[in-house]
This record gives sequence, structure tokens and C-alpha cells, in this order.
Amino acid sequence: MSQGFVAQYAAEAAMQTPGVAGLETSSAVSLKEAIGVEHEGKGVKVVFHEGNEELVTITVYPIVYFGNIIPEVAWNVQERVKEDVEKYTGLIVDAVNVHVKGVKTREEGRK
Amino acid sequence: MNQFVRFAFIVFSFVLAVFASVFLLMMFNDDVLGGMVQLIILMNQQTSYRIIAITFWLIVLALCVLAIVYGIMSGRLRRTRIRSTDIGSIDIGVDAIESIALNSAKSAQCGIKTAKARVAPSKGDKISIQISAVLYSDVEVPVMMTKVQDRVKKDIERYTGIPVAQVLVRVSRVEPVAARVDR
Repeated sequence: MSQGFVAQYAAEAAMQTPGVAGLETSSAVSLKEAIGVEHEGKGVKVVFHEGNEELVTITVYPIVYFGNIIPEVAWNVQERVKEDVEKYTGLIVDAVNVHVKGVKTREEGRK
Repeated sequence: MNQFVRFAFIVFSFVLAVFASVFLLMMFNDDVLGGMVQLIILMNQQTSYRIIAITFWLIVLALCVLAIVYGIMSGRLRRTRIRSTDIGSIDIGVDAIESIALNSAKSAQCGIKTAKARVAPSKGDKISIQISAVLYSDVEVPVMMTKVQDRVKKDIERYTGIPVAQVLVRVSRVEPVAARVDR
């Protein structure tokens, strides 16, 4: 099972959480995109545990809409990502780390 | 500023001052210049001198790096806020906090035209926020800024759950009201 495959599920789950505006792509990924390499699952980092391939640690970098209570949104993201990834891939999610990268107002998002 | 960094800065500036004065003397006095050249030659030829010189320069280099790092890092929140739940950790970035501060300051309807926010760590686990704002000229500054402070503090505590120690507002400029129409 590849990292990108798991990351896509995680990214989708995170995006569906209410209050999440998007995922922040790291500069390394945007560089990769600029070169032309396809990168699956933007804004998500998936790390497989050494020795035990069934355990994964996922880090998500969401951008949250202004007006939401950030810890609550983050909890929802954690639960959703953990649930979805475990359901669809059968892997055991050891931890979901949420690193809120920014806040966006709704008007900005509409532009 | 902790004790060690302070001490390092004192040593660093002292060394810098000594070198500056020596180089200045070299410009005006040929004897000093000759002496320095001899010292440098001595350093290169004798092993014991060389070791001393190398360690000395390494220390100076380390101090330089420390000064640069400290200059960049100071005032900025060093680590972001981390709290862990049973699933994993939640981490709120500095940019997120800054942009919440900015948004709530702007939406306070207090005549702020543009603003800049900056987050700094404060005593304990709290943060302090600095806002520098450009206002419209029809604003009663003390009254309105108190309102802004209140609002920013409340909003950040509500949205992020991080206690705010203080909100500093700096009014950097005032723009005429006419600008408001054609914005």
C-alpha cells in the first residue's frame, strides 16, 4: 500500500470535515508539482512505522475558516481521518496529528 | 533574554570592539600593522599558536551564528501550540493565530484600515499579541482601541483556546476619511 494512496483518503476525509477550508501544501510538494511530478494527497504526511507496516501516523495541515473554534475542528478532523482511513485501508492508525496552518475568511474563499 | 545568551552577547561585542580598535590602529600606525602581520605569521608557523587561534575563531563563529539566530527568532513564537488528545496532537500554527487576530481586529468596526499582527510568547503558557494599525481619521483612538483589544483577546481565546496575556495596539498612521469612499 503506497503512501499516496493512504494520503488521498486522509485528505478527502479532512476536506469533508465542516470548517476546513483546505489543506496547505508544503513548499517541497509545490516544488515537486512545478517540476511536473504528480503528488497524491496534498497537505497530508503519511509515515509508516518501521518494522510494523500496519501502523501509520498521519499528519494533516488544514486551513480553517474564520469563526470556527479551532480545537473542535481539529478533533473532528482527527476522528474522521482515523475512522475513514481505518475503514477503507484496513491499516491501524496510530496517531493523527493536526497542524493548523492558517485561517481564512469566507469572503476570501469565495474570490 | 536568558543569562547565557546575554553573556554570549557581551563576549561577542567585546571581541568585536577589540578587533575594531585594533584594525583602526592598524590604519593609522605602521608599528601596529607590522605587529599584527608578525602575529599572523607566528600563528601559521607554530602549532600551539595555531590551535589557540583556531579554537578562538571557532568560538567567534559560533557566537556570530548564535547572534543571527537569536536576532531572527526573538519576538516570534518559537514553538507553536501543541496539545495532545488520545488520537494525536493538535497544533495551531503562528500564522493561524496571527490571521485570527487580524480578522477580528478588522471586523471590529472600529475604523481600522489595515493592520499587522504579530504573536509573541509571554509569561507562563500565554501569548501576547501586537497589532499595528492604520486608522481612519474620524476615530476616537483610546475608546476604539480598547474595544479592539477586548475583541481580539476574546476572539483568540474563544477560537483557539489559548490564553492571551496582553494585546498591544500601536497606531502607526492615520488616513483621511475621504479615502474611505474610494476604496
